[in-house]
Amino acid sequence: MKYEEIDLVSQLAGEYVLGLLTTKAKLRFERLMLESQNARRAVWRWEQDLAGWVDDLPDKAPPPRLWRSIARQISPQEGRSVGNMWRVWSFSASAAAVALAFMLLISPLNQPPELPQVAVFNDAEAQPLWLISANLNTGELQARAVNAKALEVDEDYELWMLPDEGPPQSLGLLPVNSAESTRVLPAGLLAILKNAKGLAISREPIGGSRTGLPTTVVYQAPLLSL
Amino acid sequence: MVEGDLVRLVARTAQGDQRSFKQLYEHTAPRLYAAASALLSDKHLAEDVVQEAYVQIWRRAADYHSERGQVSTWLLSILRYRAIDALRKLKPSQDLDNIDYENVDQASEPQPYSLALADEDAGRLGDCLHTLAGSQRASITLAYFQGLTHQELSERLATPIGTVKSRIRRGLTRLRECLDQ
Repeated sequence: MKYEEIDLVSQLAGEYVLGLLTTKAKLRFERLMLESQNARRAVWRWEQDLAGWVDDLPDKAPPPRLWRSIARQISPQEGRSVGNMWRVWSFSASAAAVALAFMLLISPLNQPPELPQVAVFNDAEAQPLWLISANLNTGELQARAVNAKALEVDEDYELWMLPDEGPPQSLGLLPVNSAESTRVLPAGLLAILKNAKGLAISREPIGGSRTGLPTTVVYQAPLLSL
Repeated sequence: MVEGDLVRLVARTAQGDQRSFKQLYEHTAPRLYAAASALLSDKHLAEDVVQEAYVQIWRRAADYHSERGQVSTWLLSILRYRAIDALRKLKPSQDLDNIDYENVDQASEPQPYSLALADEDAGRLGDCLHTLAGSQRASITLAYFQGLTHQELSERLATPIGTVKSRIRRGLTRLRECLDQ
């Protein structure tokens, strides 16, 4: 088994795109994609390079009913354009936090089919550090630092949700030292949150990730329906 | 419609703008529908898959960014993964043409992609695929277009799994080298 000619990541990325990785290997590789720009790029390169086969296919007009059936599946609520209001307070202090814990409580109002979801992160002492609540109706996401340990002066902590397919989506920076932040998620992000399989927290430079993706994931946890 | 316009439509779609989403659909669906029809012989299944793909595109528009390539490539990826899921749910006998796989080493190709990758098409991908041994090419294209697993490839090509795996690896290596030139 020799991987001299292309590197292992590129090989795995190719097999990922071909759908050949076992469930376990696929999950491991997706985890790698969370943290590794190299892995993500390798996948996207394969996807792009293998896509050429459509170029010479003649277009085929879909039947009108197809759009109608798509339109029906897009809920009017999701269609509402929600303003992207971000208010973030971010404080820094001298020591670095290594383990994090927070509890996420998503409380739907008047929406019985949406089950409340909880993500629980525990540090060694099971101390909650942030309290985060989200309203699935209005898209409002609130984060409050309860007991957040001090951070490096030049770092922020960023919250991400993990959709069941595709890259992590940022939910913004987490506050520290009893600060609180509130934001309203745009409809697209809210829709993803409803179907997300987990949450993650990453350490970032001040101001958050420059790349649009997590830099160093320090914790992640599945989202559970109660 | 130029790439910048498509990117704008995707960005507005991510903000919940249904009108932009409809425009995106109108510009891109004919190609995705053509792709789905090529991947799936059943017309109704092709429609279902395109429908699912666009619902996913609506929900995941915020995923797109330019590092993933052109908008059309991103859309096609979504469609292909959906089509593969659909194919995997079918029993193999329902989607196979009568293909003679015994002669794979003599460079006979699995249907229907021999059409897309025929010699006259040229195109970078077609050229590079033709640098592969027939067995490597067959394994890779069957996996890519029909979602066959190692086990299924082994059965389809009457080849031990270990051999299938190494053919895929070598095929990917050679393909990567060719594409990177």
